[in-house]
Amino acid sequence: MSYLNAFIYTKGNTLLHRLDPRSKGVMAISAAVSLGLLVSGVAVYLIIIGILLLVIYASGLGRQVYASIRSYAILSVILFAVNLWATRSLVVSALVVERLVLFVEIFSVISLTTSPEDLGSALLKLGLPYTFVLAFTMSLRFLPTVANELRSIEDSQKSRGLELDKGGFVARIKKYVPILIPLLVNTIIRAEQVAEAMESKCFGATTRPTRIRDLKFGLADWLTVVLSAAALAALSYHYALTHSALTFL
Amino acid sequence: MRSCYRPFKKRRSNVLELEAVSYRYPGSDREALSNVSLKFTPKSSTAIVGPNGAGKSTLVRLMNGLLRPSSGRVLLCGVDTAKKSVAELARRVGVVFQNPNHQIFAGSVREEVAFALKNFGFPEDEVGCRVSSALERLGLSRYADSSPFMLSSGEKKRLTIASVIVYEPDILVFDEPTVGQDYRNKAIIGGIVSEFVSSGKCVVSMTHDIDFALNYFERVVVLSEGMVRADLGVSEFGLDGSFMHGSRLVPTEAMFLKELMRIVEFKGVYEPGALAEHIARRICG
Repeated sequence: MSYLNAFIYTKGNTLLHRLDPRSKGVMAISAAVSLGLLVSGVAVYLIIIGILLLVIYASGLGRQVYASIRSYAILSVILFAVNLWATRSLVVSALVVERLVLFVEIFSVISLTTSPEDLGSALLKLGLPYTFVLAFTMSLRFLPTVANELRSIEDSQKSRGLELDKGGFVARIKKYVPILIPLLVNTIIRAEQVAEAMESKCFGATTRPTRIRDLKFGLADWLTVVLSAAALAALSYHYALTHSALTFL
Repeated sequence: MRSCYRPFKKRRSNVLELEAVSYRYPGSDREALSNVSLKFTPKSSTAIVGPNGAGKSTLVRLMNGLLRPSSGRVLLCGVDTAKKSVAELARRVGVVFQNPNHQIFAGSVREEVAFALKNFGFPEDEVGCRVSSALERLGLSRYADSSPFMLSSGEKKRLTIASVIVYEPDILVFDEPTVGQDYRNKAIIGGIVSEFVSSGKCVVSMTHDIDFALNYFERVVVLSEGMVRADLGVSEFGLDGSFMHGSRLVPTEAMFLKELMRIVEFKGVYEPGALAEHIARRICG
């Protein structure tokens, strides 16, 4: 289960790391809408995938993206098989899986390059309530802790002879009980401890606490937003043209 | 699983051997362990001492195959562990991890202790017998049907020890057994170490508790920055602070006294607090 690391923020100084989370959000939504709704031609599809791969390569996240794809490989295979059974079409089944991968990866690139604090600041700027933002960023902040704990629990149970990769499907799922129970118990205990620590530091005394670091929307962010919007507009136009042509035919 | 178990043929042959073992975590730019060579024999007790980040926990995971060396070999009874699964190795190398909360999951103390026995395929009647015996040894019999989550910190620690010694591994490895334990619990754990060694087993403990190492072990290995700095008998270690250099550990009273005598010889004048700090810095670096 070390694949949890594939979605955890990794420190870096690439362009993607430096961008404001809001501009990254616009870029991700633009890419998701384009891939999910607007793209139909294979050539345009390949161009967008090429751009995405370039972004991933430039941000030095190739290894993590590969690990995250591996983490839901079984789900992808099941999805492919179900679609193949339902539609009897290899192309449709492959496209469904491809969209799943692209959607997950677009948003995993944001979580990999944005610190929970920056993400929290961005959500606050967008007007979301402080308590909601805090709960969300803390859940991200504790992901590495939970991942480390999971590894320790796995090690501990394997050292008592638990073999996770042996047996049938149901037997394997049952073998995760000795891992998930300690993880759940420890997570609840930690949540209680964090709540006590926060209350002892006057959490709730003010609804809008001050922040140590504020976000700045720079030139690179504006460029990202403009380019994403332009790409979305161009693809919408292309979609409208091909769609009306098909209707006409 | 039980069929792979064979008792030792030679009493003093090396039961566990690390040959120039190095290990680097994926993505890390430095080695967690570097060229570590150690030998462990049956009926012996070794404390591996070192500060946080010295590589002690990495060493534990290499001993039972949870990690495989980047270079070098780990030999268990002469057989390279690279060829064995963790479950096969776990049958002979029992590991008691530092945090009991990372292991406890069962509905009762009895089930928790029986977990490893069931994984190793022990017959049902033997499971019951062994569990009762292990609980008796660790003073947990009265909690047999209680929830393990209701136990105190010290009792949980003893429970994790019971859940390992119940299948009588040839080598018992402790990872920081005294962390968060009071004096009484430390003495109980020390008693288990002595009992295990006198029954012919090999005990290895990672610790930064020098007093515990001196009281219950016959050999001390000093590990620092992934390298073995010293490997010596406990009496030699307890007296000579020079082995502690760079280890950031708490020196023993004997080490303090020896250094104090040297200072008195040079007629140095210190305030009492400054003197203690000066001695600790000289010994541990």
